[in-house]
Amino acid sequence: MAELSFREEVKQLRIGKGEYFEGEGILAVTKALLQSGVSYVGGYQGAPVSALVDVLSDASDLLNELGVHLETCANEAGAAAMLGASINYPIRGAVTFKSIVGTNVASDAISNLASPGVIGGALIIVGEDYGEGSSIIQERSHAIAAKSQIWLMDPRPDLQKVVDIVERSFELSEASNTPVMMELRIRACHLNGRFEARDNKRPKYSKRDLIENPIFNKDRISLPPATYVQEKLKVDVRHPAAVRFISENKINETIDGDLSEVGFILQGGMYNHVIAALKALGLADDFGQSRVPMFVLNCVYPLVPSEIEDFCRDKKAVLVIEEGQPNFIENDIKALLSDAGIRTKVSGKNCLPMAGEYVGSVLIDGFDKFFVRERPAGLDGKIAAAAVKEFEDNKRKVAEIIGQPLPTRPPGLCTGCPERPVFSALKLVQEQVGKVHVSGDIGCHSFATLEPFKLGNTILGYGLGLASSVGISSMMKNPVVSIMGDGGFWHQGLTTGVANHIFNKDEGVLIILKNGYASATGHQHIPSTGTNSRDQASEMNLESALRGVGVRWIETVGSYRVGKMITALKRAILARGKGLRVIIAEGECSLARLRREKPITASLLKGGARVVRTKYGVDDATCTGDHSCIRLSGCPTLTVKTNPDPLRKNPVAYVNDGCVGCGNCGEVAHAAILCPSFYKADVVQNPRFLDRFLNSIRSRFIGFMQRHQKATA
Amino acid sequence: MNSHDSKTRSILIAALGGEGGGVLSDWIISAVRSAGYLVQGTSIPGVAQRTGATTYYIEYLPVPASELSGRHPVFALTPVPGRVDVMIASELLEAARAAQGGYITPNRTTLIASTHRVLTTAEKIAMLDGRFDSDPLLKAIHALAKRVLAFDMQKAALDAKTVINAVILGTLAGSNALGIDPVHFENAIKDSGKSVSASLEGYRFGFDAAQGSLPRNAEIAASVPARIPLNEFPLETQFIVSNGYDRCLDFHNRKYAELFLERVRSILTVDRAAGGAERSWKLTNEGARYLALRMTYEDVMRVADLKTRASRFQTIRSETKAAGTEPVHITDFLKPGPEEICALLPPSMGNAFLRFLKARGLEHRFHVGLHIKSHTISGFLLMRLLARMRFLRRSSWRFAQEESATIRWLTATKEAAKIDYDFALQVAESADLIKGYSGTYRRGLRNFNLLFSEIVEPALKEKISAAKTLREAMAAANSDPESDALDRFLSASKHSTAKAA
Repeated sequence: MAELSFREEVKQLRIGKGEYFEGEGILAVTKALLQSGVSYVGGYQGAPVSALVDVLSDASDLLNELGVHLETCANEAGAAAMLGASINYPIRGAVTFKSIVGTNVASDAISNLASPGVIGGALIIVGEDYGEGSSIIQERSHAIAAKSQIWLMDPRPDLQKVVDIVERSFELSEASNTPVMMELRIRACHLNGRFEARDNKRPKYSKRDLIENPIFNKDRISLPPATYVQEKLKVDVRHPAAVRFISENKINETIDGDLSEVGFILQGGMYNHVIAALKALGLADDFGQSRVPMFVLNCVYPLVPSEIEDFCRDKKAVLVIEEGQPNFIENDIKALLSDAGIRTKVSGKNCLPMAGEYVGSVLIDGFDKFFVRERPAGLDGKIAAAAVKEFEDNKRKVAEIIGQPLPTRPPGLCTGCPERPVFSALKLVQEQVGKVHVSGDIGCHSFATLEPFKLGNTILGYGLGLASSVGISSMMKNPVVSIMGDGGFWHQGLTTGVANHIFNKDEGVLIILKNGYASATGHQHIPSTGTNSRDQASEMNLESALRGVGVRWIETVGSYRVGKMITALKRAILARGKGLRVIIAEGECSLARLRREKPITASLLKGGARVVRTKYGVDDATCTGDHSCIRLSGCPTLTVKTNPDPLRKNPVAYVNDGCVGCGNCGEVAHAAILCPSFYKADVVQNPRFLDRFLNSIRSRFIGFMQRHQKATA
Repeated sequence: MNSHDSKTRSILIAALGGEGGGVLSDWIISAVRSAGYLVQGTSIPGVAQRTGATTYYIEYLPVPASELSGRHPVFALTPVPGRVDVMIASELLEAARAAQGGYITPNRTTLIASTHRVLTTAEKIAMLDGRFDSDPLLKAIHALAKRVLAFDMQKAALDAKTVINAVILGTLAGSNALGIDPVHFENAIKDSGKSVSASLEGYRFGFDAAQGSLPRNAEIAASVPARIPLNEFPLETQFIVSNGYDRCLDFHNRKYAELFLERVRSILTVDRAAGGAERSWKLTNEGARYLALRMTYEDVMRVADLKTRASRFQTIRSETKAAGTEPVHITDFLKPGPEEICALLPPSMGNAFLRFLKARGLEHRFHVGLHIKSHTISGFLLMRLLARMRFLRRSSWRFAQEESATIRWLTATKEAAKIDYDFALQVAESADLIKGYSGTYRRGLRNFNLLFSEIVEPALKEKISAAKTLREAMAAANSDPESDALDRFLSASKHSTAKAA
């Protein structure tokens, strides 16, 4: 079961016409897919779109009734390739993944899908992971859409609008024989709102209504000479058809305002941000009525030239509000206005920043520059300047009081994480074998590159930890140690990394962190979980896969055994000439384990069963306060507190109430020979007679000794 | 069209991953909705929620949905600085971060914040005290907010055996900052159906706190009754001197504690001569502090003694929150190495033992791993046996080594006082370099010896003050655990002296 349970949401997926759906943006999209009559859905997990597939995994009854096929894909390329079903058959399908990274992985399939085009509606829903809270490199999906010529929707973040755009996207896809991509930003995916539902549509062809005759059409295969014809079709037929559909169906929206000399052209996804910023300046009301006229692009690619021309024709100047870079839309608008001979001044990145998320303060600052520059009639050009000054003043005031930059708080490994002890071991083994270059990967373990571990010299992509080591490894004195999670391993690490390493007879050490799930994205099942998302046994495991591609040096070590891990790592690093040495660090994701065990423990306790609860601690009196234990752990619950010793000035280490008793701190202190201050305390809950009996004898004896001891001191 | 008056109200929540910020946000949304208003919430969870700082943002329109005649409000997905009505921060640093981002403003914002600190990794990993000072953070939030409701909500949550989000919700409801009937907030908890009674208890605590006087953290007066007459020492130094005396008495015996006093007297004499009265006897204070710590180094006997105290057993019981009848089993992880063994051996045998190890390349690798179950009779007796070995202490190899370092330090401190008071203070503080166990201890001792032979003693010989150089060297020594910075500093300063010569 994934991290979140969607039992309630599944019920809502069934509601019909006129009823209201309440929930998160990404779940609204899921419902919209069912309303659109999809035959198949697939995807690869990643914030912020994981929930789309997760909720459908929990809704297998409903999917079976409708005959919809759900596939949890191996990676994004697999997901995009799935859309090949719509090339020859009039069936609708949708896939989802995180962008830009997922779209990059998928781009081979996307190109090969876009070229022949589709006859059934095909929709790619990408989570545009850009700005605050993003976990990836900052790039735009827009480029992918433009180069493959698939259409890109960027709906206004209002659930009703998003749902409508999903349904329209399928129609657009069919009208123009082109796959459509829809981008949803993080906050839109997690936006909590409501919309009026329609009935779910049962697809014409599905698992219940089978296709009798396979279709072969040589024109729909992406192989020359068909590809030359397909490229011509893209520009001569499909693009004009799309422009016609977008225009006729009024996908984009014009909002009138009295400051008619100027206007904003914006991505749909920016709409609420823009209204909020205008509201702060008194230029818009609570219902989105704005004094500045706006043209809202719910479809950002392709643009409809006539719509842009009409909006701009009588204006002195427009501001293009386009988040991210390069500024594709702004440049397109400038070009098409120039072609049409319209002399409206186009501003964009000259007022707004080239890079970064367009939050309220950024937009207000940009509006200030635009209004000062254009001075529209009927508006005090300095209207935004006051607001800008006010928040600058407040910020300055805070900075003056605090006097120095605040410490940052990046994410890190959770309490009890089985990956922490592995990195502790990797840090410690370097004291014995010397420094090593660490080739990092994508996953929770990416956080090991931060303090206190600082392990991972590069990160090149998901499942690419090992592959990204081969360029440098033959030039390093110590072998390169590569990291891979089991998520990355199945995503592509097995082939791109491991198999090819063996094939080239390369040297190196690979640590596979086997926690049993795609943990960072919400505990989706992967082959080494043991079961798939429908809890059917997978009968797949890492070790046989490794042996199958020819790995001979494999050692499996329990993650929490720091001492054993150090020994294994040392052996692996020193085993020169032995090819690829793989250490599988086995330890279930602690969040998943706790979630599974908590209710069981609670019911055992309630039933009076003997349960031992473990917590670690530090003795204040023997801790000398140099904090090396923290530098080797970074556990959120291992922290410091004011030294109770009146003579010592530095704070002592201290384990707070969040401790889950994983034992890492004690293991590390022991393995690194740090200090004798750590102790493990096992609390016996619901003690049996023998426990109580022993305890009473022990306490009496120890109590007597302690009293006696005091008397002699 | 004229400029618009917006009625929309906004709530920004800054929380840390795993604190239940999402649940809090859901409760607030549900309360606002049941009050009859249209509301929208959004968040940036994803991977940021794995222990990092994250935010939730809620907007609603306090006009009954029935009076909107079908019009739909447009709610924002991100806060605009200066437009936040209620700022909630589950931790003090995050409250200050919100102020820095411009989200707490004097004309608008009610701030509900917990004043406890969850330290960041950067603050925790410092070798000395890397904790950010809380005072300016508190000052900043009070200076910026229109109204502040701040207290240690984490403590309240722990007392109520619940999560901090319930206390925050109670405080929000009790503050009436949103003008929504508290019953809606209570119902939100009840409707969620999970840990309802514990959450409600936390909620009530927060509610009462917001309505009445906020709880104050009781200040514990730090005073230690002196066991000896200290009239000969200035009043300002009596606290440290008496603590030092007690510590030495506790470490070894009365005679040893008398030796401590003897040495402090000698520091006081030079302090007096150097005009210490005008410096609040700082040298005597700091000298006595580090002298006591030097003289009560952590050998096996000391560690075993501290680990068998009744007070320790009580602390562990309370820290683990063990109920009355629940047995608590304690496992201590000891791994004595050469220094610990030599704490028991006389100098000649200690040297022989170290030579033996060195010849085999084991000096840094020889360790005996012990997992001692201190709650059992055998484990306790083993610990006590170790503690009782302290009769061997004063004739041991380790004592000789510690004592020679202490005398070297004490002599230098007193000599330095004759040259420059600040230099003497700096020398006194250098004793802090020697601490910890095994590798940490060895590195500390190495750094201490280096500083003395390279900086302190040459300066004393030439009768010049090296306060500044020593301060910089200390900072370098404390900036990284590998001593790389110190080595760089020393070689650079050597280089520049050579150049100057």
